[in-house]
Amino acid sequence: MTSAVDRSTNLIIGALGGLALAVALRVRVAGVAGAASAPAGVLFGLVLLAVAAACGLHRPALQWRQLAWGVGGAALLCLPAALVRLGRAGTILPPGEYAKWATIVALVAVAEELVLRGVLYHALLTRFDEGAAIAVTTVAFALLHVPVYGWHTLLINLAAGYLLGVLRAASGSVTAPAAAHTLADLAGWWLR
Amino acid sequence: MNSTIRRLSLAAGALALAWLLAPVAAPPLYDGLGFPDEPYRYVIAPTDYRHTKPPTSAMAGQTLPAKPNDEAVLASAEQGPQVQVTVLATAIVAPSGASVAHLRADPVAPTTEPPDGQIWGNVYRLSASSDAGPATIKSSAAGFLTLRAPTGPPPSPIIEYNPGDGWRDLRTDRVGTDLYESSGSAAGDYAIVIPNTKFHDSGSSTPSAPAQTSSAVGDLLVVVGSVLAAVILAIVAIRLARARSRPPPTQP
Repeated sequence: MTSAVDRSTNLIIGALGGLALAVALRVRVAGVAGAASAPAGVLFGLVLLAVAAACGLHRPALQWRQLAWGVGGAALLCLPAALVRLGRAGTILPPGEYAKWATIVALVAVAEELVLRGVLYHALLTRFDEGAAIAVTTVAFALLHVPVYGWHTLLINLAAGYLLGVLRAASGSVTAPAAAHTLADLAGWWLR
Repeated sequence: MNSTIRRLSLAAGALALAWLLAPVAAPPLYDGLGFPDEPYRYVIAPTDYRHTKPPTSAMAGQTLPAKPNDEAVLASAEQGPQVQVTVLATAIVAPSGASVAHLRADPVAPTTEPPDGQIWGNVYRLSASSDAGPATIKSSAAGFLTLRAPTGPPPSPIIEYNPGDGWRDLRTDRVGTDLYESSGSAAGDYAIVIPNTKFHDSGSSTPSAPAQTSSAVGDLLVVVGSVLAAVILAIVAIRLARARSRPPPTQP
């Protein structure tokens, strides 16, 4: 019989491997379209959902408290971008594409959180402690964006990943970081 | 609870610091999916480039006389505008009696290449007119111009400006995956230029090709590096934890 520790170790390696596989597939499918490739984004999200399911993700809590944490986290994530946006013109985007774009963005954000702050965080918490869980998921979160968005995003994604990890620890569920991550990404349409 | 507040404060501070050190205006905010930019529209497309609609002009009107903080914002109509300009209204010089100024940035085919590089994409000509006759836009530190490059992976290009007497470099910031911004928005021609050094280093005959090739290799290296880093991190963490949890050796 596999012990809880061994199972956690397997889940950690499985989740990290799944993340790497999903990123590699996304980069491969996207080609020069990069982050703008919708098919690559959908594939990335679906692979991550499969990884989360294969790793036995627990059903996330769905409570107002979790959502409140998520909304607060999203506000923190958006604040610097909003301040930067005030000082420059930004890009004016046509409204017609928002529904399709938002659907894929939400899929990707939720799928990432289910693997990172769901499966991986839980396994790390079981095997190590809360600090290690936040640290490893933060680094993994930042690294998985580099192939798609470039090294210049590393610092910001480290900070954002840490905040999402803190939300996970404080709220006790993946729901809060998933809500924060999704809302912040969706707000990007107006904060570009 | 104290630990949560402390961590949240640390996270907010780290976020603010990260934005101060490396402001990323690139879409999306932190992750998700890039905005669906359409393929770049050329005035004169390179050979074998896909068929696209013609590029559009960016236009805006500005009521005169303007208030001190008024600004006109122009953006072309492509999905992912290829040119965006912010002009401080006080930088518009129009004949007295003018009640409205018309600003526009028109795509034009490159006619003269700058001596230090190759133009990448269209040249955009920023001009002004008014209901009382010709107008112009003088240089203003508060104005800025953003150009979208034909492809995302950047070979570190710069924006150059030609007021009519030759090209000159502008300080250029990368503000998105394929977006470049320079301060100043005086009347004249603007273009993204790949400096000759970058161009020759990559050993290609066209400006767009090196970006794609080096990016593909770079992406692969980053993926492999990320996987290795993640695996090494996990192994080190697991070994450390095992070493900690191992019971001390018993004396014989």
